Amino acid sequence: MKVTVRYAAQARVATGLSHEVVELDEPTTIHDLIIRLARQHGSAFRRFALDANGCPHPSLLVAIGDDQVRSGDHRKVTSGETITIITPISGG
Amino acid sequence: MGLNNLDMKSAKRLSNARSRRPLSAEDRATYEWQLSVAGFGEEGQRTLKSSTVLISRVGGVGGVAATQLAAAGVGRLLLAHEGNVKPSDLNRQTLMTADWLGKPRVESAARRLREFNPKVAVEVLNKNIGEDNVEDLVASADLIIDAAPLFRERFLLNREAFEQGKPMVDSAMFELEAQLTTFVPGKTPCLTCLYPGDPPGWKRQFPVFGAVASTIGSLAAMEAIKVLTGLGEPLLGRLLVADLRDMSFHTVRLHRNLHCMVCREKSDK
Repeated sequence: MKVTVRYAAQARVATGLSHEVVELDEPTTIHDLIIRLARQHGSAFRRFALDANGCPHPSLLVAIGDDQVRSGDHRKVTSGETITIITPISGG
Repeated sequence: MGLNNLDMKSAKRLSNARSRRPLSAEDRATYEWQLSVAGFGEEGQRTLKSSTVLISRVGGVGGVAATQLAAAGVGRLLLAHEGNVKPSDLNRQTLMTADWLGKPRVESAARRLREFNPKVAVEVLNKNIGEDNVEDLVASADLIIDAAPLFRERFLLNREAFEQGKPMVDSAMFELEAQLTTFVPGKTPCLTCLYPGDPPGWKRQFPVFGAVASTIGSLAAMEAIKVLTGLGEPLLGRLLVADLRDMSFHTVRLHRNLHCMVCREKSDK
C-alpha cells in the first residue's frame, strides 16, 4: 500500500523533499513509519525525528490528514492517507 | 457540542468581563471602516479600546501584529523585547528603521506606533520575557501574542498564560512557511502539549522573508481581535499551516497531551 508523506519546516530542508510517496509492505504504525523515514533520510533528518533512545521525538508534530497524532502513536496508517511531519518553528 | 462552540462562549465571556470605555467622535472617525464589519460594531470597538495586549518581541512577526492592533484601536500595547536594532533586523522588522541602528528596538517600535496611532497607549520593556517579569506582564494583559524566537521564552509565556487563564496567540515562521494557533486555558491544548521540551536542532537564526513575517503577524493580530471581541472563529484547537511557496493554507486539529506538565490539571474534564 502507498501513503504520502509531506515534510514541513526543517523536516523539508533535512530531507530535501516537500513530499514523497512511501510504499509499505504491511500495515505500519506512525511510530514505526517515523523510525523508517529517519533511517532512510540520514542524519540531518534523524536528529529532528528521533530522540536519544531512537524513538520518534515527542516534539515532532505529526498529522494524519488534518488530525494531529503523537509521533509515538501506534495507530496504523492506511492506504492513501497523507501524513504530515512538521518540526517546531518559532517567531523572530 | 463542538470545540469551537464551547470556546466561542468562553471568548465572549472574556470580552464581556471587562468594562468598556466609550468611543469618542475621533474614534468613530478613525475606525469608521471596521465599525461596519458585521458582528463587530461599536461594542467590538469599545472592547478593543478597553483591552491590553502583551506582545513578546516586536520583531518581524510581533512588530506587524503590534502595528495592526494599533491600527485596529486596541487601547494598550505592552511590548517586551531586549536589545538594539541590528542591520540584519531590517529585512523583516518593519517597526525598526535604518536611522535607529544601535538604539533600543522597543524605543523604535514605540515611536513608530505612537506616530501611527497616538490614541493607543504603548508601554515598553527593554527586556525579553523571563522568570523575573513574566508574572506581572501576563497579569497586566487581557491577551498575549507570542512572537519570540527562543523556545525557553515561549514555554515560559505559555506556562504563565495557563496559570493565569489568559488566551495566547502563538505565531511561528520558517523560510516561506508560517504557523498560527490560539491557546485558551482549560479549552485547548497548550504549547507544551505540542512540544514537550526544547526542540532538537533549533537555531536562533533561521531563514525567512519579511513578507512571511508580515503575513503571520497580520494573521496573529486578526486572531487577537477575534478572541478579544468574540468575532468569527479563532484557531482554537486548530493549527494554521501556511506555505507561501504554493500559497496553501490548511488547518490541523490539535489534541491535548494528557501527560502535559503545564495544562493537564487545568483542562476541562
